[in-house]
Amino acid sequence: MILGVVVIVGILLSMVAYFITLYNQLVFLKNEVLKNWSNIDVLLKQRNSELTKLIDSCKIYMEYEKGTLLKITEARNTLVSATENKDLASLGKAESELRAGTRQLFALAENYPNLKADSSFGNLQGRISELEASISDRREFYNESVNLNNIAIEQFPEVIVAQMFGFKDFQLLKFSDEEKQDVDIKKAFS
Amino acid sequence: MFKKRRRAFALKEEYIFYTMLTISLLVMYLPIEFSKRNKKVDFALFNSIYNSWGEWAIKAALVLLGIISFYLAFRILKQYFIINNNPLSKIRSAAQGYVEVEGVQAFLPGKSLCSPLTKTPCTWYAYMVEELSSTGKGSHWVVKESGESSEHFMLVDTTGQCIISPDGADVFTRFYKVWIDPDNKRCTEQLLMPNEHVYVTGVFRTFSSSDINPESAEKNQKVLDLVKQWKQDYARLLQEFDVNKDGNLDKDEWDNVVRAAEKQINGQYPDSSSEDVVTVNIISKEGRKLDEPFIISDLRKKEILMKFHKKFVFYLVIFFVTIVAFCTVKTWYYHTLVKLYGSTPPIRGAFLSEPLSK
Repeated sequence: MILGVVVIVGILLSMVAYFITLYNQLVFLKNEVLKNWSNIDVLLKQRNSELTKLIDSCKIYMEYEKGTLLKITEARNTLVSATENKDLASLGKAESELRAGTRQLFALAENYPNLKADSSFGNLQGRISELEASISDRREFYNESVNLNNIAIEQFPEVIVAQMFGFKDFQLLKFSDEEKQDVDIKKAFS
Repeated sequence: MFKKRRRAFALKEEYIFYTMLTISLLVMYLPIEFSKRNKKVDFALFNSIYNSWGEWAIKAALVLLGIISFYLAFRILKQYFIINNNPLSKIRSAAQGYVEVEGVQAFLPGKSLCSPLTKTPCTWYAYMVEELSSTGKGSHWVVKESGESSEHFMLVDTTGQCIISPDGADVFTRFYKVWIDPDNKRCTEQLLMPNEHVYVTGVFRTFSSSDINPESAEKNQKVLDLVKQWKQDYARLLQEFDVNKDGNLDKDEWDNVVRAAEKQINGQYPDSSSEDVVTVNIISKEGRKLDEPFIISDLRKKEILMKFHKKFVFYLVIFFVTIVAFCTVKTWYYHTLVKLYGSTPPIRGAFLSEPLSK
């Protein structure tokens, strides 16, 4: 009799502890997604700051490429507002446009020897390329954490805890196909 | 008394369990030992010892063992979830804080390390030498010497590299060797090998050269002093750096001032240039939260997760075993005694007159 009661108490205790662990797991996943989003945000801000300097450097030499510079500036502004509003669809599109724009700008810079010779332009180019690589990595990392969160809240037994406490899924950050395309050098030079 | 004994896949916290298990077994054995006369158990004496303090000592030990098992089971489950839910980072873009990275092990430039027993080149080792100690009743292995490396090593992935500080880590290795040496000592060695795969979870931090190099810190101070000196003659600063001629130095213009000061100071150091800012990535235990595991292993993530899962099940089972043992200690003890000492004890006294006879 006593043995039965103690074993049942032990089972109940284990179930409560398991439930708490599952709940904490979902809290952890949610916070990871938010943290990973902030980590992308930090890099986007750094890259925007570098881009401003890059555009200022280019303006001096590239008088005839105002269209490209304008395209980058517009994409950058869209990106800033999309980041502030956490609008992932617009952010992905603006990021793709911005990358295409900067790649075009770097390709066009080959036509301006004075610009190429400017050491600050070289430094900025290197820094922006580094930041873009890091943004890509962190986007991948963010998507991975979103994926883990979305799987966790749908699978059993976490789904019970998720529905009880209203844990929600997150949206993946996708970059459009434009970003995956190679730079059209001919078009850039025409 | 309970010297640390390294197990192949034991977490640091698990030593509490092994210590408590040893204490529990000892407490269970004491009433038997105290009631022996001429190498045979005097059951009357045993009854009296058991009824005076034996039962409560055993039950207290079982309760403690149960609590520790329960705590370890759910702590390990939480760590399992943390590892499982943390995606792998690339060193190039790893955020500051708790991360998981995978790569290849390497020595730090100009450094190397050999294991103390087999003299194998390795990035990390742990070893133990035990001697057979014989007492009148039997023999057991006693730890004579043990230790582990705290030397830093490198983790290299496709995007970069970082230093691993193994101090305080739970290290799980594929290489685990036990052998008896010619002096009849039992030797155990665990190694992590260079150029082999390594998986690390820990706190990732990046330091710039100015944080770690005293010369860089000195340079930064000199740059600050020079800028302060230039600010005394603000008109001249404006003349040289106010590009847009608005009578003020905006952020970019101040950056140019600092850059010019850096250039001048760097000129005083013949072997350096303004481009030599070096950053160093380190993964260590510093800044880790209590529940976040700090693991270094040459196993794959899946294998580590499997180990954690098995440990969770193991401690949960132990928890239920202690519950059952707590409730049935009397019956169980009686049957063990009979099995161990052959004869059936006379049925008398408080201990043996209880439900056992049924």
